[in-house]
Amino acid sequence: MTEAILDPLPWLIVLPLAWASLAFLLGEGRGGRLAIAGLAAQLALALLLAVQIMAQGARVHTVGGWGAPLGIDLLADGLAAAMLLLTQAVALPLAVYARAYFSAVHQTHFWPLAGFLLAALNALFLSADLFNLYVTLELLSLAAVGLVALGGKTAQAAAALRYLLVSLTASGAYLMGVALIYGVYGSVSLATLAPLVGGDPPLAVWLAAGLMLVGLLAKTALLPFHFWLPPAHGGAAAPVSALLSALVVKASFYMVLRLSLGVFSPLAEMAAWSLGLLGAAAILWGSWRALRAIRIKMLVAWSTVAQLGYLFLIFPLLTADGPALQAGVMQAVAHGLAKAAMFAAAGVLMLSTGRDNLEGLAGVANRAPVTLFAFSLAGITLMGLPPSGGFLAKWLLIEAALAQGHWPWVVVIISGGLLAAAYVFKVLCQAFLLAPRSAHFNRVPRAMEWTAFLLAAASALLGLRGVELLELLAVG
Amino acid sequence: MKPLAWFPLPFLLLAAAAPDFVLDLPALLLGARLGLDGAGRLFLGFSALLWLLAAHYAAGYLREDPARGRFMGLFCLTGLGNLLLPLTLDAASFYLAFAVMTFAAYGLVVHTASHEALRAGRIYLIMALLGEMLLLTALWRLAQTAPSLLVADLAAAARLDPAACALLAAGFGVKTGLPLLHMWLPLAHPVAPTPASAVLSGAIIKAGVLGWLRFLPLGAAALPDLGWTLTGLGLAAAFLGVAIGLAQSAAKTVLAYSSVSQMGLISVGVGVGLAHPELWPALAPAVGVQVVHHGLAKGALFLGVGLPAGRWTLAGLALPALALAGAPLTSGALAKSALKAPLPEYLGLMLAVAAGASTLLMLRLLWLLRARPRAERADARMTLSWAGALIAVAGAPVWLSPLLPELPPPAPWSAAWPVLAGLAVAAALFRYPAPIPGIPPGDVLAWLEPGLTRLWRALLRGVSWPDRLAAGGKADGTPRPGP
Amino acid sequence: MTANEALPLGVLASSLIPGLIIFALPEARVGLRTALNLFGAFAKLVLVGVLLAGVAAGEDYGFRHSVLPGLDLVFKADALALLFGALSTLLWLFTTLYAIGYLEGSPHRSRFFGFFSLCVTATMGIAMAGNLFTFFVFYELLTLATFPLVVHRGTPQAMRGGMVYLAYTLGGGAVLLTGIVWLHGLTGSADFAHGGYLAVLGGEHAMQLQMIFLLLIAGVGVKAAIVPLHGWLPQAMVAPAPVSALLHAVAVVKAGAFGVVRVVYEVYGVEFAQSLDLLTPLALAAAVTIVWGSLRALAQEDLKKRLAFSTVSQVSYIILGVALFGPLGTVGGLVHLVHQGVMKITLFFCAGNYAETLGIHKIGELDGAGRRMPLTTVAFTVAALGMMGAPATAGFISKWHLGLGALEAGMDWAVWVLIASSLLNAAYFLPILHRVWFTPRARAWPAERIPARGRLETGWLLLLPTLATAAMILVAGLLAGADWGPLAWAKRITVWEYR
Repeated sequence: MTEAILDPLPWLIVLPLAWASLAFLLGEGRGGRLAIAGLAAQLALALLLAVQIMAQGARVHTVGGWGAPLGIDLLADGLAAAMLLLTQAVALPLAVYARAYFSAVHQTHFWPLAGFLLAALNALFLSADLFNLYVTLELLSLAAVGLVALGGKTAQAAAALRYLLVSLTASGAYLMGVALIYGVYGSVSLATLAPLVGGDPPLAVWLAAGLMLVGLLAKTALLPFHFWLPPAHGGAAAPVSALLSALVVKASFYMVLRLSLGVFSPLAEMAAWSLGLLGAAAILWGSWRALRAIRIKMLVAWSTVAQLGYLFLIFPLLTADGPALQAGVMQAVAHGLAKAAMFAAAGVLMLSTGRDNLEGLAGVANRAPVTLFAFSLAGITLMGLPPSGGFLAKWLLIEAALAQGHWPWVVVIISGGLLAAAYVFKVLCQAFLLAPRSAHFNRVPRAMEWTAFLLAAASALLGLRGVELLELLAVG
Repeated sequence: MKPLAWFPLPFLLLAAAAPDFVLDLPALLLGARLGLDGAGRLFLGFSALLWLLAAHYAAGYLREDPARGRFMGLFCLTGLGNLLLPLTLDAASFYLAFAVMTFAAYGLVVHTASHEALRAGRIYLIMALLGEMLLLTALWRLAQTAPSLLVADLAAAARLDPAACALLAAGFGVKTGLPLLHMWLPLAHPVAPTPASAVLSGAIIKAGVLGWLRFLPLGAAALPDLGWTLTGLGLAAAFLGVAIGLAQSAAKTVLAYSSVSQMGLISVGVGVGLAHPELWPALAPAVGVQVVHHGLAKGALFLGVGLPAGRWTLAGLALPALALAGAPLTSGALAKSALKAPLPEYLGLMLAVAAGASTLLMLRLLWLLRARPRAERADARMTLSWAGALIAVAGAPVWLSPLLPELPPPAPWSAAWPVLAGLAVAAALFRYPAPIPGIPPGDVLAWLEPGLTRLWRALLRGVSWPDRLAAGGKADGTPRPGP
Repeated sequence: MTANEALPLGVLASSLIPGLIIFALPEARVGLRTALNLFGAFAKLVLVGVLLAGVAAGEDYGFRHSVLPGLDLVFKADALALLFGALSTLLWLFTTLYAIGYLEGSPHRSRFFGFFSLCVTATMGIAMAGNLFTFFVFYELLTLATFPLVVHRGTPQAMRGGMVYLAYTLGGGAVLLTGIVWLHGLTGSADFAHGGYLAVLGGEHAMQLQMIFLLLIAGVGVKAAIVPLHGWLPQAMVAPAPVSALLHAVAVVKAGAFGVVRVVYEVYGVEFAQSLDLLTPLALAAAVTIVWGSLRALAQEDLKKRLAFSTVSQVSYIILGVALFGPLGTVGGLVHLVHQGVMKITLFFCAGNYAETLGIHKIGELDGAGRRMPLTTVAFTVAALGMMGAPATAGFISKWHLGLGALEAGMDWAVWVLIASSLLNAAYFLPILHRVWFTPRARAWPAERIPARGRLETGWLLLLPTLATAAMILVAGLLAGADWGPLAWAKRITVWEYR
């Protein structure tokens, strides 16, 4: 029993719930310090979990001692541990950032919502059955919608509403899929289902898989379901955009990956090429739109659309232990860190210049050098330049593509990187221009600048420690 | 400035007093070897003397020139190159000394910055560069088979490589003024300040001869094609140089064409030596004597031309003029008879005719000088230097004859008749003057230059099209004049 | 970690750490910044000196760190690495001094020197990279570190130049990456090795290996400015003079040329490359670049632009030497790697001196500059003569070996290329020399900023590095036969590559 209490798995879900509730009780705008303390503990727990898993292998935790099918199982394998680690590692600096940010910008319920969001995320990564996945996904979406709506402006409300509609529809589709599966096999446990779904399942299962996939893709904002993302991410407050772009969209990707590797692996091949092609289209279209953007945050948001495309490029290349899966996770982690950094940096730049368009950036290179450096480092990851994690991801992807002779993939990956370079340097060039005489710069809290920098540096230096991440991932 | 003018003295002492030596400096360049041998001593001796005189002459000549500091610097640099050249026994240091001499001399040519000087400088530089490239190519070829870069090894390798020999002959031929490679010479020698003209015509063009002697497989291999070509070119130079020189109206240009003509005689000697290696032992000292004789005489002539005109000047100039014409008892007579001795009969006859022609050319020179206005008083240093040069010319037969121990004392008549014939023709021309056709200095260049210039401009326009494209076609890319 | 592992890292750290500290320094801390800069430069010089002595004595220096299974970051300070590394270190010291003088009193110096140090770190990383992956890492880092330097002035013109620079270099990087990953798929993890490591693959993969070669060379060829990938170089002229000097002499173009050296000698192996018929096309590309670069230089009226096109031409001498199959060509190419660096940096220092002191940017404004700035002009003359390959300069030593190599390889046409290039070099440098020395000054200087004080024609920090590198040109040319120095070192490397 003591072992169960000391097990980090449940604590990773309970802790954020606890500080979120406390923050709610404390009232508007309070609870930041609490959240930071909680997140620090969560990060320690996630690290501990990763170490344990590396040493002992994947494991299942039965909540309250009730086993499946009645109770709730929490499953922690290498993939889950990696995502948990990413989540906490991104969230902690962002909390520090948010605390400073919201001292400057009025807010209402950021901390409770963020807490619930993180609890839902952690739970999602640890879920071991289809239904739990649904529940956590739904909670996650609701918290996310709440965060988007936080500012209360008309544009933000409209974006939130659109997001909510997409979310609900998508969840509905997913839930229908779950119901169909349950109808056919009488179980929603991933472990139970895996051996049951064969190469030639009944039509209902096909339908279920299709519905679930579409639902998840809509939540991941893969082209052509991307339309909700730029306004939602581009319009929200900077810490919120960072959380959403870095973590929330990864949750549904995680589910697609998990299901196609596990339960639906016999069916996955059918969809693999469509996913890959959509991913490729997303890379090109998203990058192009980012290049055309005139507002900083829209640029970053469109870049998210593009970067998510890389995650789906791996599906046609997936093999048992090939580099494609490693590439996918590496990309997810690297992009998570980098995009959090980039939104954070964009927030600082906007606060500093008081404007949200690219033109206003002239001269910012001299006023907020640390932030600009952070933005550049994050950009390096997005471009896939060494030594960043994004580079390793691209390296692994190209290697996988070449090993299977998929030349067009290489072209897409490379051009995506070049387009990313184009839009990142568009920002940097603007920032290096001499400031007009009339320009006025606000002072920005240092904590914001340095947390953005920390995240960016982590993403850029991730490439030097790729071995550990991949070892963790290999724990099945 | 004063001590600078003495810079050739150590070289002169070296040539006069030092024993033969070899000094290896492996760290220097590509493994340098310096040393003094017979040919080196000969070239070093007369060159150092000429440089010493010219340097002092220059100190007087340029006493009021604001840019004399620059001139003297480059003058010394040129001299250093020229005087180190005979001491170098490996290809890299030879090439270095040769290049230093060549490129520093550009500054002497363009010193006055007049339009003619700039044009002459440009052409000098282009030709010099072409020569350097020919030499470099030849050295590259020879170094393929030679075990080292020592001159002796390269010359040995040249026996088996006629193409490299041709490149060498042409490369050094630019300096010695072989026909068609001579175009720079009548332009550059006259425009330079007089002391520079003296060393250019007296010493520097002899560096090309030294190159031939050092690198061509003379006496070791028979290269009839190249040898007879060189001989033919030498004869052409000897006669055409005089013919075109007669058509010139500037004294220094006349002297420059006379140099072309006199160097032609050397080319004949070297050419025959290439074709008939067995004749070379007799030809070698003859070529050496001709080199020294012409160097001193031409130096004295140029230095004299720079002095204010007058009876004494004209009288003084008559001595080196006679020497160049090959009058008896002069170094010219010695050189011509030495050169003639091993040659076939018909070639000897042609040399004699050339000597007669030279007489005519020298008379033309003195005639042109006669009418010159009196300039301001000469500086003492100039006069003294010139006097020194005259003494050297007068004494040349004495100290050159030991070089030719086997030569029978020249029959006075064989030396005298060409001179007399020349005088007779001159007298006839004086009595019945013939119209002199105007040939511009640089002769064939006058036809080539416009075409080449146009070609160059077209090239410049061609290569600037990306810039015009970038500028939206509004910049018209006016070409600069050629280098 | 043993000392032999730590030394290469120390070489990187000696510029990386001062660079990072400098970023954080406030603008006003001039003294501390200068001290850090110089400390880093001297520390690196000492470390590289130790490495040189060690390698000459047969020691092995290296460090290895795994970033992915089967993918290692490898540093190896071998003789070839040190040829490039020592050049970079030495010239970095001079460029730092020069930059301190050049940027005196101008804004954003912390940023400038920070990136400056990063740039040198990247260069050293490229020099010591032990495999293609590591090479690529630092190759891209170099692109990123130089961009802020190119756009340092912050004018729209600088931005345009910077964007062109980026477009070319990042595009090249992408092509290079494709080639490297492809090769990695074929061979797995493999380090640079004397004589290459691909020969074992044999002719079976000939087609693929040829394609990969094309990709790799196109990738590094962008930085090496091989025609038609050279368009960025003249555009990058908007950078301040020390940056141009660094870009042209040490960092960027040299990284590309060095990449060609590594790919041909230590990936493919020169003999295997020859058996795949790769060297002749490479030599042809180099030849076209040499001639076209020189021709384009002729057409330029802007001094720095002319120098830029001259770089295009001169860097391909290195590539030509590499592509000539034979030891003499190799010696010529390798030694020119060093010599071109020293000569070109001198020329850019001089161009910077003219611009900074008198406001001269156009060649037409140089009339009579030799009288006003004799020392700078002497340095310029020496370097320009070196570029033409005049004897007694470093350039002659390079050209001599290249010509010998061309004949040795049976590529007689390459001799004509060398000759043509020498003549063209003369055609675009000699008129400048004539102007500065022999044409009297016709009008006032465009903008005289630094008055002459006694014998000092400009700031001493601008003059000292210029004269020092000019002296190096002469020393390298005059004492080429010495047992130390670039030529001896290049010969030593060549022996290994052809063993």
